[in-house]
Amino acid sequence: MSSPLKVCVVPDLYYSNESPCMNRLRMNRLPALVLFAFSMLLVATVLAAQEELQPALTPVEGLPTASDFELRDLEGKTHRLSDYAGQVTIVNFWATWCPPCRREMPSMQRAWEELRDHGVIMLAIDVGEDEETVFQFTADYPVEFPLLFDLDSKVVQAYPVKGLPTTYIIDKQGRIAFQAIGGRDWDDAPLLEQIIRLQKAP
Amino acid sequence: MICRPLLKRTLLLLPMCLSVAAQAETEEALDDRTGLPRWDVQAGDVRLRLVQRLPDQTRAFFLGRGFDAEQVDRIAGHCVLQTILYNDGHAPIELDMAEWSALVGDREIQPRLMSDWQQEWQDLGVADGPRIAFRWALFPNHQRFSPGDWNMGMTTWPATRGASLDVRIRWHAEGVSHELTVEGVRCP
Repeated sequence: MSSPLKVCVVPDLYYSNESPCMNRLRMNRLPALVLFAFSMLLVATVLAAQEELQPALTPVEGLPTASDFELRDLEGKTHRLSDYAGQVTIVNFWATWCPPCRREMPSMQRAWEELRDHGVIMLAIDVGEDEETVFQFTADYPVEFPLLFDLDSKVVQAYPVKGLPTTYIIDKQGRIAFQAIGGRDWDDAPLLEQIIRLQKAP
Repeated sequence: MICRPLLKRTLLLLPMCLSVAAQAETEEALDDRTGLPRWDVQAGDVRLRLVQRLPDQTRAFFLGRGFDAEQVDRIAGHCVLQTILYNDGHAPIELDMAEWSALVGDREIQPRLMSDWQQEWQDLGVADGPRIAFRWALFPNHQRFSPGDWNMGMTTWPATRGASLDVRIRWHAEGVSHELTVEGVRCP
Protein backbone atom coordinates (compact mmCIF):
# COMPACT_ATOMS: atom_id res chain seq x y z
CA MET A 1 0.00 0.00 0.00
CA SER A 2 1.40 3.34 -1.00
CA SER A 3 1.63 6.26 1.41
CA PRO A 4 -1.16 8.88 1.03
CA LEU A 5 1.45 11.61 1.56
CA LYS A 6 3.12 12.74 -1.64
CA VAL A 7 6.51 14.19 -0.95
CA CYS A 8 8.06 16.94 -3.02
CA VAL A 9 11.77 17.10 -2.52
CA VAL A 10 13.03 20.64 -1.99
CA PRO A 11 15.59 21.32 -4.74
CA ASP A 12 19.17 22.01 -3.83
CA LEU A 13 19.71 25.74 -3.84
CA TYR A 14 22.99 25.49 -5.70
CA TYR A 15 21.53 23.68 -8.72
CA SER A 16 18.98 24.86 -11.21
CA ASN A 17 17.74 21.44 -12.33
CA GLU A 18 14.07 21.32 -11.43
CA SER A 19 12.51 18.31 -9.85
CA PRO A 20 9.21 17.01 -11.28
CA CYS A 21 7.43 18.65 -8.40
CA MET A 22 8.60 22.19 -9.14
CA ASN A 23 5.41 23.40 -10.84
CA ARG A 24 3.41 22.26 -7.90
CA LEU A 25 5.85 23.93 -5.53
CA ARG A 26 5.43 27.22 -7.42
CA MET A 27 1.64 26.95 -7.11
CA ASN A 28 1.93 26.12 -3.42
CA ARG A 29 4.23 29.07 -2.88
CA LEU A 30 1.64 31.70 -3.76
CA PRO A 31 -0.25 31.68 -0.45
CA ALA A 32 3.08 31.52 1.37
CA LEU A 33 4.30 34.59 -0.50
CA VAL A 34 1.12 36.48 0.31
CA LEU A 35 1.48 35.48 3.96
CA PHE A 36 5.12 36.56 3.92
CA ALA A 37 4.20 39.96 2.43
CA PHE A 38 1.54 40.47 5.12
CA SER A 39 4.02 39.44 7.82
CA MET A 40 6.56 41.97 6.55
CA LEU A 41 3.90 44.67 6.51
CA LEU A 42 2.95 43.77 10.07
CA VAL A 43 6.60 43.82 11.22
CA ALA A 44 7.13 47.23 9.55
CA THR A 45 4.01 48.60 11.24
CA VAL A 46 5.08 47.30 14.65
CA LEU A 47 8.59 48.72 14.20
CA ALA A 48 7.19 52.10 13.16
CA ALA A 49 4.89 52.08 16.18
CA GLN A 50 7.82 51.14 18.45
CA GLU A 51 9.81 54.05 17.03
CA GLU A 52 6.99 56.43 17.86
CA LEU A 53 6.53 54.97 21.33
CA GLN A 54 10.25 54.75 22.14
CA PRO A 55 10.41 55.90 25.77
CA ALA A 56 12.80 58.72 26.54
CA LEU A 57 13.62 57.09 29.85
CA THR A 58 14.63 53.46 30.07
CA PRO A 59 12.74 51.32 32.61
CA VAL A 60 15.17 49.72 35.06
CA GLU A 61 14.73 45.97 35.45
CA GLY A 62 14.03 44.67 38.93
CA LEU A 63 13.43 48.16 40.38
CA PRO A 64 16.56 48.17 42.61
CA THR A 65 16.42 50.21 45.78
CA ALA A 66 18.12 53.59 45.35
CA SER A 67 21.03 54.07 47.70
CA ASP A 68 20.30 56.73 50.32
CA PHE A 69 22.64 59.70 50.56
CA GLU A 70 23.16 62.85 52.56
CA LEU A 71 24.66 65.79 50.66
CA ARG A 72 24.80 69.55 51.05
CA ASP A 73 23.57 71.96 48.40
CA LEU A 74 24.93 75.34 47.27
CA GLU A 75 23.14 77.10 50.13
CA GLY A 76 24.48 74.70 52.73
CA LYS A 77 21.19 72.84 53.21
CA THR A 78 21.47 69.08 53.72
CA HIS A 79 19.39 66.79 51.53
CA ARG A 80 18.78 63.11 52.20
CA LEU A 81 17.17 60.99 49.52
CA SER A 82 15.07 59.35 52.23
CA ASP A 83 13.61 62.80 53.07
CA TYR A 84 11.73 62.54 49.79
CA ALA A 85 10.15 59.12 50.30
CA GLY A 86 6.65 59.17 48.85
CA GLN A 87 7.66 61.59 46.08
CA VAL A 88 9.15 60.83 42.70
CA THR A 89 12.74 62.13 42.78
CA ILE A 90 14.93 62.87 39.78
CA VAL A 91 18.61 62.35 40.64
CA ASN A 92 20.97 63.73 38.01
CA PHE A 93 24.76 63.16 38.19
CA TRP A 94 26.72 65.85 36.38
CA ALA A 95 29.83 68.07 36.29
CA THR A 96 30.37 71.60 34.99
CA TRP A 97 33.09 70.50 32.53
CA CYS A 98 30.84 67.89 30.91
CA PRO A 99 29.37 69.39 27.68
CA PRO A 100 26.16 67.29 27.54
CA CYS A 101 25.55 68.04 31.25
CA ARG A 102 25.71 71.76 30.53
CA ARG A 103 23.53 71.36 27.46
CA GLU A 104 20.70 69.61 29.32
CA MET A 105 20.62 72.03 32.30
CA PRO A 106 18.28 74.64 30.73
CA SER A 107 15.80 71.92 29.76
CA MET A 108 16.03 70.48 33.28
CA GLN A 109 15.09 73.89 34.67
CA ARG A 110 12.11 74.08 32.29
CA ALA A 111 11.10 70.54 33.28
CA TRP A 112 11.44 71.48 36.96
CA GLU A 113 9.08 74.44 36.46
CA GLU A 114 6.52 71.99 35.11
CA LEU A 115 7.12 69.09 37.51
CA ARG A 116 7.36 70.85 40.89
CA ASP A 117 3.63 71.55 40.82
CA HIS A 118 3.11 67.79 40.57
CA GLY A 119 5.18 67.18 43.71
CA VAL A 120 8.23 65.81 41.87
CA ILE A 121 11.68 66.48 43.39
CA MET A 122 14.75 67.23 41.25
CA LEU A 123 18.31 66.96 42.63
CA ALA A 124 21.43 67.51 40.50
CA ILE A 125 24.53 66.02 42.11
CA ASP A 126 27.82 67.54 40.97
CA VAL A 127 30.60 64.94 40.97
CA GLY A 128 33.94 65.96 42.43
CA GLU A 129 33.86 69.76 42.06
CA ASP A 130 33.85 72.47 44.69
CA GLU A 131 31.23 75.09 45.50
CA GLU A 132 33.13 77.94 43.83
CA THR A 133 33.22 76.11 40.49
CA VAL A 134 29.51 75.32 40.61
CA PHE A 135 28.65 78.83 41.83
CA GLN A 136 30.42 80.31 38.79
CA PHE A 137 28.56 77.84 36.57
CA THR A 138 25.18 79.03 37.84
CA ALA A 139 25.93 82.53 36.55
CA ASP A 140 25.65 81.12 33.01
CA TYR A 141 23.13 78.38 33.78
CA PRO A 142 20.75 79.63 36.48
CA VAL A 143 18.63 76.83 37.94
CA GLU A 144 16.20 76.76 40.86
CA PHE A 145 16.41 73.09 41.84
CA PRO A 146 19.05 72.02 44.40
CA LEU A 147 22.63 71.45 43.21
CA LEU A 148 24.34 69.01 45.59
CA PHE A 149 28.05 68.27 46.08
CA ASP A 150 29.47 64.76 45.95
CA LEU A 151 33.01 65.94 46.65
CA ASP A 152 34.62 62.53 47.17
CA SER A 153 32.37 60.79 44.58
CA LYS A 154 31.15 58.29 47.21
CA VAL A 155 27.50 58.77 46.25
CA VAL A 156 28.01 58.42 42.50
CA GLN A 157 29.91 55.20 43.14
CA ALA A 158 26.95 53.79 45.03
CA TYR A 159 24.93 54.03 41.81
CA PRO A 160 25.65 52.13 38.57
CA VAL A 161 26.90 55.29 36.86
CA LYS A 162 29.44 54.78 34.05
CA GLY A 163 29.57 58.24 32.53
CA LEU A 164 28.18 61.75 32.96
CA PRO A 165 25.45 62.80 32.72
CA THR A 166 23.40 59.92 34.07
CA THR A 167 19.96 60.43 35.58
CA TYR A 168 17.79 58.14 37.68
CA ILE A 169 14.10 58.51 38.37
CA ILE A 170 13.34 57.20 41.85
CA ASP A 171 9.74 56.16 42.47
CA LYS A 172 7.70 56.89 45.60
CA GLN A 173 8.89 53.63 47.17
CA GLY A 174 12.56 54.64 46.78
CA ARG A 175 13.25 52.31 43.86
CA ILE A 176 15.08 53.19 40.65
CA ALA A 177 12.27 53.11 38.11
CA PHE A 178 13.91 54.74 35.07
CA GLN A 179 17.33 55.82 33.92
CA ALA A 180 18.79 58.02 31.20
CA ILE A 181 22.41 57.70 30.15
CA GLY A 182 23.57 60.82 28.32
CA GLY A 183 21.77 64.12 27.99
CA ARG A 184 18.05 64.48 27.31
CA ASP A 185 15.62 67.24 26.43
CA TRP A 186 13.94 67.11 29.80
CA ASP A 187 11.01 69.28 28.82
CA ASP A 188 9.95 66.96 25.99
CA ALA A 189 6.28 66.17 26.49
CA PRO A 190 6.58 62.33 26.37
CA LEU A 191 9.40 62.42 28.93
CA LEU A 192 7.45 64.68 31.28
CA GLU A 193 4.42 62.42 30.90
CA GLN A 194 6.49 59.39 31.94
CA ILE A 195 7.51 61.15 35.15
CA ILE A 196 4.07 62.58 35.94
CA ARG A 197 2.52 59.14 35.35
CA LEU A 198 4.99 57.67 37.86
CA GLN A 199 4.12 60.39 40.40
CA LYS A 200 0.40 59.66 39.96
CA ALA A 201 0.91 55.90 40.39
CA PRO A 202 0.08 54.54 43.87
CA MET B 1 15.14 14.36 6.30
CA ILE B 2 13.88 16.14 3.22
CA CYS B 3 15.29 19.46 4.23
CA ARG B 4 18.59 18.17 5.54
CA PRO B 5 20.78 19.85 2.86
CA LEU B 6 19.01 23.16 3.45
CA LEU B 7 19.26 22.82 7.21
CA LYS B 8 22.94 21.93 6.99
CA ARG B 9 23.64 24.98 4.86
CA THR B 10 21.66 27.21 7.23
CA LEU B 11 23.62 25.91 10.20
CA LEU B 12 26.87 26.51 8.36
CA LEU B 13 25.87 30.11 7.65
CA LEU B 14 24.68 30.82 11.20
CA PRO B 15 28.07 31.69 12.78
CA MET B 16 28.62 34.22 10.01
CA CYS B 17 25.46 36.00 11.15
CA LEU B 18 26.74 36.34 14.73
CA SER B 19 29.45 38.81 13.79
CA VAL B 20 28.75 41.79 11.60
CA ALA B 21 31.40 44.14 10.28
CA ALA B 22 29.86 47.39 9.09
CA GLN B 23 31.14 48.93 5.88
CA ALA B 24 30.12 52.44 6.82
CA GLU B 25 31.47 55.55 5.18
CA THR B 26 33.45 57.96 7.34
CA GLU B 27 32.40 61.61 7.06
CA GLU B 28 34.98 64.20 7.98
CA ALA B 29 34.07 67.77 8.93
CA LEU B 30 35.18 70.56 11.23
CA ASP B 31 33.56 70.42 14.65
CA ASP B 32 31.16 73.34 15.21
CA ARG B 33 32.27 73.87 18.79
CA THR B 34 36.03 73.45 18.59
CA GLY B 35 36.82 74.08 14.92
CA LEU B 36 38.90 70.89 14.96
CA PRO B 37 38.48 67.93 12.61
CA ARG B 38 35.89 65.35 13.49
CA TRP B 39 34.90 62.02 11.99
CA ASP B 40 31.37 60.61 11.95
CA VAL B 41 30.24 57.10 11.15
CA GLN B 42 26.77 55.58 11.32
CA ALA B 43 26.61 51.79 11.26
CA GLY B 44 23.13 50.38 11.71
CA ASP B 45 21.87 51.58 15.07
CA VAL B 46 25.17 52.93 16.33
CA ARG B 47 26.51 56.40 15.61
CA LEU B 48 30.08 57.27 16.49
CA ARG B 49 31.78 60.66 16.45
CA LEU B 50 35.51 61.16 17.06
CA VAL B 51 36.75 64.72 17.57
CA GLN B 52 40.41 65.69 17.55
CA ARG B 53 41.73 67.24 20.77
CA LEU B 54 44.84 69.41 20.74
CA PRO B 55 47.54 68.47 23.29
CA ASP B 56 47.32 71.97 24.82
CA GLN B 57 43.55 71.60 25.13
CA THR B 58 44.09 68.37 27.06
CA ARG B 59 46.84 69.94 29.21
CA ALA B 60 44.60 72.89 30.11
CA PHE B 61 41.67 70.63 30.96
CA PHE B 62 43.61 68.39 33.34
CA LEU B 63 45.67 71.25 34.86
CA GLY B 64 42.30 72.76 35.73
CA ARG B 65 41.30 69.50 37.45
CA GLY B 66 44.34 69.44 39.75
CA PHE B 67 47.01 67.44 37.86
CA ASP B 68 50.52 68.92 37.75
CA ALA B 69 52.45 69.81 34.58
CA GLU B 70 54.42 66.57 34.44
CA GLN B 71 51.27 64.49 34.89
CA VAL B 72 49.28 66.31 32.20
CA ASP B 73 52.17 65.80 29.78
CA ARG B 74 51.71 62.07 30.24
CA ILE B 75 48.10 62.38 29.07
CA ALA B 76 48.77 64.92 26.32
CA GLY B 77 51.55 62.68 24.99
CA HIS B 78 48.79 60.34 23.78
CA CYS B 79 46.50 60.79 20.83
CA VAL B 80 43.41 62.02 22.71
CA LEU B 81 40.06 61.84 20.92
CA GLN B 82 36.72 63.09 22.18
CA THR B 83 34.55 60.04 21.61
CA ILE B 84 30.76 60.20 21.39
CA LEU B 85 28.64 57.10 20.89
CA TYR B 86 24.86 56.99 20.39
CA ASN B 87 22.51 54.02 20.46
CA ASP B 88 19.86 55.02 17.92
CA GLY B 89 18.32 51.55 17.75
CA HIS B 90 15.66 49.60 19.62
CA ALA B 91 17.90 47.10 21.38
CA PRO B 92 20.48 47.62 24.14
CA ILE B 93 24.12 47.49 23.13
CA GLU B 94 27.12 46.63 25.26
CA LEU B 95 30.72 47.54 24.72
CA ASP B 96 34.07 46.69 26.23
CA MET B 97 36.85 49.03 25.15
CA ALA B 98 39.39 46.23 25.61
CA GLU B 99 37.98 44.94 22.29
CA TRP B 100 38.70 48.23 20.48
CA SER B 101 41.85 48.77 18.45
CA ALA B 102 43.38 50.97 15.78
CA LEU B 103 45.72 50.41 12.88
CA VAL B 104 48.61 52.85 12.62
CA GLY B 105 50.29 51.89 9.37
CA ASP B 106 50.67 48.13 9.79
CA ARG B 107 50.85 48.29 13.59
CA GLU B 108 47.83 47.51 15.74
CA ILE B 109 47.40 49.51 18.93
CA GLN B 110 44.77 49.50 21.68
CA PRO B 111 43.30 52.42 23.60
CA ARG B 112 44.79 52.91 27.02
CA LEU B 113 42.25 51.69 29.55
CA MET B 114 41.08 53.35 32.75
CA SER B 115 42.51 50.64 35.03
CA ASP B 116 45.97 51.18 33.52
CA TRP B 117 45.75 54.96 33.96
CA GLN B 118 44.47 54.72 37.53
CA GLN B 119 47.34 52.40 38.44
CA GLU B 120 49.75 55.01 37.09
CA TRP B 121 48.07 57.81 39.09
CA GLN B 122 48.19 55.67 42.20
CA ASP B 123 51.91 54.93 41.70
CA LEU B 124 52.56 58.67 41.24
CA GLY B 125 50.55 59.54 44.35
CA VAL B 126 48.02 61.70 42.49
CA ALA B 127 45.37 63.09 44.86
CA ASP B 128 41.79 61.83 44.88
CA GLY B 129 40.31 65.02 43.36
CA PRO B 130 42.19 64.84 40.04
CA ARG B 131 41.73 61.08 39.89
CA ILE B 132 37.97 61.44 40.27
CA ALA B 133 37.90 64.06 37.50
CA PHE B 134 40.01 61.81 35.28
CA ARG B 135 37.71 58.87 35.88
CA TRP B 136 34.66 60.80 34.69
CA ALA B 137 36.41 62.60 31.82
CA LEU B 138 37.42 59.40 30.06
CA PHE B 139 35.00 57.41 27.92
CA PRO B 140 33.66 54.54 30.08
CA ASN B 141 35.55 51.33 29.37
CA HIS B 142 32.50 49.11 29.85
CA GLN B 143 29.00 50.30 29.24
CA ARG B 144 25.50 49.17 28.36
CA PHE B 145 23.53 51.66 26.27
CA SER B 146 19.75 51.30 26.25
CA PRO B 147 17.89 52.64 23.22
CA GLY B 148 18.27 56.42 23.17
CA ASP B 149 21.32 56.42 25.47
CA TRP B 150 24.53 58.11 24.46
CA ASN B 151 27.75 59.06 26.11
CA MET B 152 30.90 61.02 25.53
CA GLY B 153 34.39 61.02 26.94
CA MET B 154 38.03 61.03 25.94
CA THR B 155 39.77 57.98 24.57
CA THR B 156 43.57 57.90 24.77
CA TRP B 157 45.60 56.11 22.12
CA PRO B 158 49.36 55.44 22.28
CA ALA B 159 50.13 57.12 18.97
CA THR B 160 52.51 59.93 18.10
CA ARG B 161 51.58 63.40 16.81
CA GLY B 162 50.64 63.39 13.14
CA ALA B 163 49.79 59.67 13.12
CA SER B 164 46.80 58.48 11.10
CA LEU B 165 44.57 55.91 12.81
CA ASP B 166 41.99 53.51 11.44
CA VAL B 167 39.96 53.17 14.62
CA ARG B 168 38.02 49.92 14.93
CA ILE B 169 35.29 49.71 17.57
CA ARG B 170 33.23 46.71 18.57
CA TRP B 171 29.92 46.33 20.40
CA HIS B 172 27.39 43.60 21.07
CA ALA B 173 23.64 43.69 20.49
CA GLU B 174 21.23 40.81 20.97
CA GLY B 175 24.04 38.26 21.00
CA VAL B 176 25.59 39.56 17.79
CA SER B 177 29.01 41.17 17.70
CA HIS B 178 29.26 44.31 15.52
CA GLU B 179 32.29 46.17 14.35
CA LEU B 180 32.93 49.40 12.52
CA THR B 181 36.05 51.19 11.39
CA VAL B 182 36.63 54.94 11.28
CA GLU B 183 39.35 55.48 8.74
CA GLY B 184 41.98 58.20 8.59
CA VAL B 185 41.62 59.72 12.06
CA ARG B 186 44.51 62.13 12.46
CA CYS B 187 46.28 62.85 15.73
CA PRO B 188 47.10 66.57 16.01
